[in-house]
Amino acid sequence: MLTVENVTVRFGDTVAVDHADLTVADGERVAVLGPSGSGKSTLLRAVGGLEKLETGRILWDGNDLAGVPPHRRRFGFMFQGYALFPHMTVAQNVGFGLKMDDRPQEEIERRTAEVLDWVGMAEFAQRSVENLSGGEQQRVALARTLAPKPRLLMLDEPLGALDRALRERLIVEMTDLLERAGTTALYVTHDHGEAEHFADRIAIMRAGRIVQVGPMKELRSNPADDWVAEFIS
Amino acid sequence: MRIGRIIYPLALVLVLAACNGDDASETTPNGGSDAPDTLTILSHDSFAGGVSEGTFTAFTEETGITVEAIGAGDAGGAVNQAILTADNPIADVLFGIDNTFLSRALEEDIFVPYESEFLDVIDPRLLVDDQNRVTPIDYGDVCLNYDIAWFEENELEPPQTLNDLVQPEYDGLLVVEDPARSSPGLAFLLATIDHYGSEWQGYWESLVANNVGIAPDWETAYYTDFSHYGGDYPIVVSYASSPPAEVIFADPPVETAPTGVVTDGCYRQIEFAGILEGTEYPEAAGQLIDFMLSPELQETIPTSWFVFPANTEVELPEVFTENTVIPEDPVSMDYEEIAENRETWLDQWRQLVES
Amino acid sequence: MAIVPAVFVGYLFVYPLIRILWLGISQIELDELLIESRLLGVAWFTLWQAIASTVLTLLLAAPLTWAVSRFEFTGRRLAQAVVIVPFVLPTVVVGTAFAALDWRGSVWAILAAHVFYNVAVVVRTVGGLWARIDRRVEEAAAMLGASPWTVFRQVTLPLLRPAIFAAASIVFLFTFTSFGVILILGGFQYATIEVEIYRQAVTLFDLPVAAILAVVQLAGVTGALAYYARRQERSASPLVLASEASTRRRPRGRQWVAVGASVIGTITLMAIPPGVLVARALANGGFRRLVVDEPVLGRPIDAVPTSLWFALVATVIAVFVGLCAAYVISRRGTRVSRWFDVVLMLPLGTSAVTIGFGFLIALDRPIDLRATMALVPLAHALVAVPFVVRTTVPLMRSINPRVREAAAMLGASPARVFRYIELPIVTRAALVGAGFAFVVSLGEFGATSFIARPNTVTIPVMIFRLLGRPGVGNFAAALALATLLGVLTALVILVMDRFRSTDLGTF
Repeated sequence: MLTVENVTVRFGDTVAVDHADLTVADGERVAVLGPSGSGKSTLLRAVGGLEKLETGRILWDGNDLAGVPPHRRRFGFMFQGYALFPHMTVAQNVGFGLKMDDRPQEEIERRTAEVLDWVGMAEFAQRSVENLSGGEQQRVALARTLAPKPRLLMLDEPLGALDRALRERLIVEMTDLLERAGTTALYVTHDHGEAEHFADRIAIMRAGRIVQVGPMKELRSNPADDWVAEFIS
Repeated sequence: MRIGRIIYPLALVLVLAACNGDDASETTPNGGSDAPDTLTILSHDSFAGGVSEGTFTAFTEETGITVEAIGAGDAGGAVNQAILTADNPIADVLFGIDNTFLSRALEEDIFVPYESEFLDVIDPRLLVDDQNRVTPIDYGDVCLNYDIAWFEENELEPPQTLNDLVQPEYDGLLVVEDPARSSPGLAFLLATIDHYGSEWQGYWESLVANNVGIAPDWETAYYTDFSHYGGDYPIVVSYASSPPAEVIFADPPVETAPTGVVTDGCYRQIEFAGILEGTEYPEAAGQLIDFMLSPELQETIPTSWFVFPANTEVELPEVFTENTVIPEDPVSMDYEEIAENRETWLDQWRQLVES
Repeated sequence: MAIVPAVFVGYLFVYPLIRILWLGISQIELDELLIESRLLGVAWFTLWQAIASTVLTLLLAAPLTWAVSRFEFTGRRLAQAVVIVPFVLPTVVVGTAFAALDWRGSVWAILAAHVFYNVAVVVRTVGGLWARIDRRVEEAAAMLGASPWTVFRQVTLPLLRPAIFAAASIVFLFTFTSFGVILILGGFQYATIEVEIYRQAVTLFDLPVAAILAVVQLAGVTGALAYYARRQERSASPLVLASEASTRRRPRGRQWVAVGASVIGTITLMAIPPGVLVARALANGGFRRLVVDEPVLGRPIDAVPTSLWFALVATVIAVFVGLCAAYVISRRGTRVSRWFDVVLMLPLGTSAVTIGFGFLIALDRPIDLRATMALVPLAHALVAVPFVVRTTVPLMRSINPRVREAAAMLGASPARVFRYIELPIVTRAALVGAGFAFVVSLGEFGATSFIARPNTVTIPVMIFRLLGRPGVGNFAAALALATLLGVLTALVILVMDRFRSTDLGTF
């Protein structure tokens, strides 16, 4: 279980995340929803260990992660724009996390094939990632994040750059995939349709603060304020 | 990544190999034993270039000591390096120091005096230091060379004297080296100063009026500006040994030299060797100096370094006796006089030619 | 990671430099010290000719750089490789060619020679980046109604800026500390600070004045470098790089004319001086003499393996140190990394005499490196490291930080991020730098000409020895050996380029 406790992240004079609290239970999928610049990506990066905390703690199963560098957290992080490794093939990208975990080569190959199969990219395994389309890149990035079986999956606007029709198809596929795998996930988006489809619970962020957390139905029926009501309508 | 897999391990191997190489080439003798494995001669590059595999073989056979020659730029560079490293010398013997730089080295007190057993067979005019801190090994004469073919084609007599060079018929025919950077250039300047005394500046004014060419170094003067190599000047400041070299290195072979020597206005450069003060093996270093004066090595001097042996008992090879003249009475200025005036002369010269 | 370059440059450069400067400065007696007004003129000349040479080189190299980085045509690789040949040709040899063309003795000859020597720096440093700028970026601008010239000025040029600064800084350093070109091609009335340091230190052995000049030179170089480092840091932006295969196109229609004119025009001009050398070597049977056993010098061609071996070792050291340094420097922003960058570049801009003398008085402890063969590749590497740094830092900076973070989130420790992400991405760029390093060592310029060295004969040393003796045969052999050095250089670069691009399939 992930616990975000009173977390503040500051860049110079700007407070990007302001005393945020959030929990994600095992197997639960939570979306962080907010307009751009509300600090949701920064919150995600803080959970990943990529940003320094000014106040607060991030805990996994009750253990403080303060001294744990990103590469030891065993969290998966899917970046906006995907950040695929440009010098590697699709298969090398997907197998990277397993390789870093020093798994045997045959296990890497097996798992890579399996995950690529899930995302429907099996025949792309030996291709360079450079000439893939946006949707294909998204699938590779998802496969790469899933392959090492992270204890928490974080997705930062994973469908941001894609066209509407593709987004609608992928959100369905992705949700199904994660549901089947029972993955604990934290999903950052500015699109409430995506959030609603993907998440069990939604945290609404505004100007660095988490203003309300709950299932979409609850947010709709009982918004914390007018702004929330308008934002999710 | 594929490249990385090849390069980085290779890198490691090479670095290790290079480090091992260091150890192997670490020849500085250690301890105070009297018989070193190696003696090092610090010299200018042209000496180092003339050391072939066989040069010191006889010495090594006799004493068991290997000789290593290290080159350090020109003669001035070698002296400077010896002075800079006086506290912890990089060599046992300094060789190739000439009379133009001698005072600098003597002032710094970097030599151990040594009396060679060959002193009595050395031309006495070469023995300039009465304390024997340095020993003359060879000498060379810086002389004007001329392009024989050019003078025949243009039906002009080659110059005979320094005075000829300021005559109108020799206008634009002479190229000299910058005395501030080139040792033959300085030698020629000293020759004119010695010849004309206080009038030397007037002589140079006439040379400038007669369109003397100035090259930065001997290589450029000889191989670029000299008409024999396609340049514009048929007279060049070079060495008395240059014409025989033109025969030895001719391609295709020739019978006689294509260039000639003007015997007036020659300057004698004497090259000395000295045992460096910080050496651990002064005795072995002395043996090496004796070897350098022995007929065995002295005989190879003309064809290896294109200078003449200091040992008077050694005869010159035929190609030298036929193609050059050793000037009877060359100029050789006192090293203290050079040291006192050099900077002033160079400044005055510079002003003369710059105007 | 910082420790490797820090120790390397600290022990081989900073420490000897401080020792020799201190030795000179401590001998200064104020009442005796007269700085001639002439020296001010020297400083001024040094500065303006360096700036003029840099600007001219950038301008004149631009057409060829454009042609070889944006287009694919027969002979492109060859054109890219041969421009580097001048780099290794000893000045005295080039001087012979310039003289045969009556190009000597003016400031124009100096500038022309500086351009001749440095075109390669621009073509290869700027071209390396230009070939990887996604055409779609430019096409996007064109679709928005920008004319080709506007696209170049508003889009391409700003993207190329880091590489242009890198090339400019190297060319500036080379020309600011120019020595042989000034002496041999400028005629004797021109002097740079470098020439003057040589005169004071070697000819007059006036260490105090030489030290003051060395400090002035260092100050100028440091100032210029600090400026460049700041500019470069600001201008570097993470950008999406494309594979070279996708950006190079075959020229179409009128493009053939422009590309053809750029390539043929530049290469023809640059081929004139080497052409003269080859002709003169051939005319006098120089190539035959390369294999003739000369009693004292041996066979001239035997210098080739020695040179190649040294160059290989120097390159490996330079790449290793340079990559570590690039990693440290590319972690942008900190003042420390900026100064580190400047210090690593300084050896290129420090007079060879200063470094050579510094070695002599400083490198006798803990092991006596002076006058050992090991010092030669180390000194070569010292001069070559900046090339590796300059060619890899822009690329390292351009790696999207998200890519590094993605690797970290997948479990890669910082060391493994370097090993698996940054290293492979910059290896190709490092190969460009390695090419320069190799060539720097083959051509042996800079500090090594003034260090005492055992009698191991590399190609340039053999050329000087041949030229140091009178005789047609020696002259022709020297020119033939210089020609061989040029051909060898072009071949090495050609092979390296091929190695670099065959691997590009997966990029």
